[in-house]
Amino acid sequence: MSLSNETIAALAARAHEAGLRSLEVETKEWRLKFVLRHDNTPPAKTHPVTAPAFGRFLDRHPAREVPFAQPGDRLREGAVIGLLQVGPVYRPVIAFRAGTLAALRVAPGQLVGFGEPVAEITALPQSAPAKE
Amino acid sequence: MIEILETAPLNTVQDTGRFGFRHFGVGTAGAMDDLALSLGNALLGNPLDAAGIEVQMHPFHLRVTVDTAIAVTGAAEAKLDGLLLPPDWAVPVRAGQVLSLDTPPKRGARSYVAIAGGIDVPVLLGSRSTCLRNGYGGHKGRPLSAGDRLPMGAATATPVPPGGIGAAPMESGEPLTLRVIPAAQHDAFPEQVRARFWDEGWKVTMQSNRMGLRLEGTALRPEKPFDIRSSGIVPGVIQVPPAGQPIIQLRDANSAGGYPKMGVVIEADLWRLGQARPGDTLRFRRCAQAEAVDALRAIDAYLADVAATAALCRGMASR
Repeated sequence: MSLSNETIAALAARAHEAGLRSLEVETKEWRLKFVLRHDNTPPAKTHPVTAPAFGRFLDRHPAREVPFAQPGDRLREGAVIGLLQVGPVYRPVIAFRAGTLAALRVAPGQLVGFGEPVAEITALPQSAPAKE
Repeated sequence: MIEILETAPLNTVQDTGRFGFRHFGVGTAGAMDDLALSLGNALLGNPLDAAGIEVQMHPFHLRVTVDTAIAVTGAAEAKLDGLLLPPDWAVPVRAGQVLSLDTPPKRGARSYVAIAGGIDVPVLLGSRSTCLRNGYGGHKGRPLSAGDRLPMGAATATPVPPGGIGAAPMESGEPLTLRVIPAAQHDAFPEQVRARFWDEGWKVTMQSNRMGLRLEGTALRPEKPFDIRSSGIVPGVIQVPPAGQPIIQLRDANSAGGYPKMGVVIEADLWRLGQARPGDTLRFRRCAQAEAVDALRAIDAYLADVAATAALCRGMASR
């Protein structure tokens, strides 16, 4: 298997939050080593959510009145933040980790390219429950 | 396998219908909103007429016993292990995950659960649809009940990517305005009665189900009673019984009937009737046969576009 950039970023962030200095992950095919620096400056608070595909960004489904998520909303891992429309098909922009939606980086109707940041998520403290 | 964990009455296995046996008195049965069922199949890469589950009463909970993909289309809000799915959505599911349709939809009446490979109940007279009225087809000829296990067909399409894919709604105009072609007895009604049929709204009553919608409005009465013989009817036929309150015959209707026929809702608009609910007001708009054929072609083109684009998205994600 291979790791996505999102997964690597999430692993690094979790290791940082846990106060680890280094972390190694090893399988038969690959080895991944994080070296983490803890200084007094606060760690980067938000994590970008990038577009999984090219498409036109929608913050809500046309059959629903409310947007999928608004800044300040708590998101479960796997929650849908928005849609990318290509022709008659939607692909989801997914919260790859639980957290609070800090900001949407693109406006509804805007064309988004693959890998472009669409939203920012702030990690939740471990104990805080997340809504859907 | 699909395991039915919990279900309200009258949820059934349906495909897009049983055709070719009307002359033996065998009605079509099939999904009341066949567009929604086909849309789910299009997202999954199934044949568009593969069998799924029609959910018209809630709650409905199912669990899959193998890793596969499902699509939920139509009216309801569905949750997969508690996470809300967007409307008209296909998503991968792992063995043991639970799909739940808990609350009646805010709009519309019916939802469809399609599964990769389709539901593989036995084919009877060319269809897997349940005929509730006569108790054959589908799963043992009856509505689903808790504990039922439904076999799944072999899925051949590229799997749905993590997070799923959805379908944008078809441009469909006013959902409760139905295009109608005048039928045999239309011209025999007095002119002002005909005018009321076309101009006034018709309320869907509680006496409505898969057999037909009973409507309520200003009674449509002929000058003198009709003396006609029973003849074949198809889903969409609008009959006017002596009391003057129209009935629209639907998927589980008789294959013949003797009430005068005012018109027939075009095939391309039958799905709208599958989403009409008691209290809704329907309106009829006169339509010629050419427009009815064009409307069917538009639906076919939309479904083909969704199927092709969904296949592209599934293919890109699997590389």
